[in-house]
Amino acid sequence: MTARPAGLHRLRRLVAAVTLLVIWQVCSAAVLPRVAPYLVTLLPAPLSVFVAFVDLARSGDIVAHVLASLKRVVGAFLVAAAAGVALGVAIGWWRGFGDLVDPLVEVFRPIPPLAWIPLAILWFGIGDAQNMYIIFLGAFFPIVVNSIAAVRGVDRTLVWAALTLGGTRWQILREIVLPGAFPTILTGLRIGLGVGWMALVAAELVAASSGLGFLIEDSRNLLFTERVLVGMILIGLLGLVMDRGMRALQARLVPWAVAWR
Amino acid sequence: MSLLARARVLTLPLAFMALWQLTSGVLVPSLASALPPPSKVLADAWGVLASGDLLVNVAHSLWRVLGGVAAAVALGIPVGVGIGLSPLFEDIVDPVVEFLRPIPPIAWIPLGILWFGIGDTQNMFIIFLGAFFPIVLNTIAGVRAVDRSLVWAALTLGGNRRQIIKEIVLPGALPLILTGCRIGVGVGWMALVAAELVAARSGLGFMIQTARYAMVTQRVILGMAVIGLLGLLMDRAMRWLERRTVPWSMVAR
Repeated sequence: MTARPAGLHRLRRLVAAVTLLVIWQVCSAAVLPRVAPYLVTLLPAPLSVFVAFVDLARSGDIVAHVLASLKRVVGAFLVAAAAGVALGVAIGWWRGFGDLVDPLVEVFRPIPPLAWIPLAILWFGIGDAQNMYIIFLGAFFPIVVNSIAAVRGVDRTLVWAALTLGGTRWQILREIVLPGAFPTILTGLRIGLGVGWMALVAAELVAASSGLGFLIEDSRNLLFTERVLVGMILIGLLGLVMDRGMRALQARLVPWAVAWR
Repeated sequence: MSLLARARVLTLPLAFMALWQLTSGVLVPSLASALPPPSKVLADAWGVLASGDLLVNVAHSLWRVLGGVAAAVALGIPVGVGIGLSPLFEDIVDPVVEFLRPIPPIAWIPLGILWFGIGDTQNMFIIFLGAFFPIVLNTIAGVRAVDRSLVWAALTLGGNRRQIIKEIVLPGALPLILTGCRIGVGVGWMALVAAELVAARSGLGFMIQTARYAMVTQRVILGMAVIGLLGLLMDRAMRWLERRTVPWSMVAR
């Protein structure tokens, strides 16, 4: 394969994306109303989506929904991170504890967080507690599993070297295992945040009266398809920003682990 | 595994079950409506098994997964191979993929309902979206990981583009394509539950949601367990398929 100039590459991508947007705009705004007017509600033009976004932004609705969603994600994620890392490290580090507790984790892990939604509604009703519980479940298991793998993947020779030099168990855990496991633990946190975000949307679709998931479901009921699209794009964008943020954190905190990936 | 190790694996799950049975069955009977004891869940399992309800819902869910994943495979592998092989195709399609990829399949549910109404098509569309992106991304990675010297060797021996794709690129990318399918099935299964919760008249997601409305909590828990179990089984089946078809790549892991 020949090397291609980066400029041409970028230009072609831009042209392709703009062309697609223009085709969509023409189809939805000019062709569809004439050919099949009833379909216009189903696929609003990009410009009307943008107008809907501006409207929602002006009224402050968007900010309120985004804040409601973010508040839930951050709260539940912090709990899941604290509990998940602690449990994962304990399972990975203490063999006896791991042999005992790991099977219980494996019993619950295959149940997708979304399958908990009806039960969680029965337990917590509709609102923050239910949503946060679902996000917690989504984030918790990737964090636990990665923390276990992280601790078990720490280089044995380093542990033996520390033992030879007279290190206590506690010192080895603090000075060798935790720093050695940190990169993979961070990866688990990043994956957990991603799954948690996806779970939030589902929880809000069914059981919330605020947040982005509620916004798209509510707009669907009212046939505001433009708003559904605004909400979807925002959900995708915020998920992407969170993922990029976690990656940037990894690059800063554990550059050696990111470099060879 | 030795007998002792096996006993140790079962200890905590069994203790958990016993505690659960004891708490909501005997000690705090008022808990039983929010968290019915395992015995009640089992009794309900027997009931829905005997009436055939469970099997019908399982069959509907599996049918949707099959349809959605099949569509994702049929579309995802060609798109992935195209992006992996052709810079022009990549420049045209990749921006769209990268724009749509961060949107979780679940966020498509309301739009999916508007487009397809309630039922199989909508559910399959959501599963399709869940499975499509992992398959495309893994196919791209698989195609790019194919050993260049093999391609050059085939070119030297006079192979044409079609032959190279069929004989070298696809077999070389197969391990990662299969991994993509396995991940895709997992994400698709998760998306299915959400889609059925909101927009279906059958299936396991629908079963637990209606059981919730009717306050039949034991059926909610039963449905959750079946969902978890089927997800696990599908994952195992896909891993088995990987071991069978591309054993060399499993050894390297």
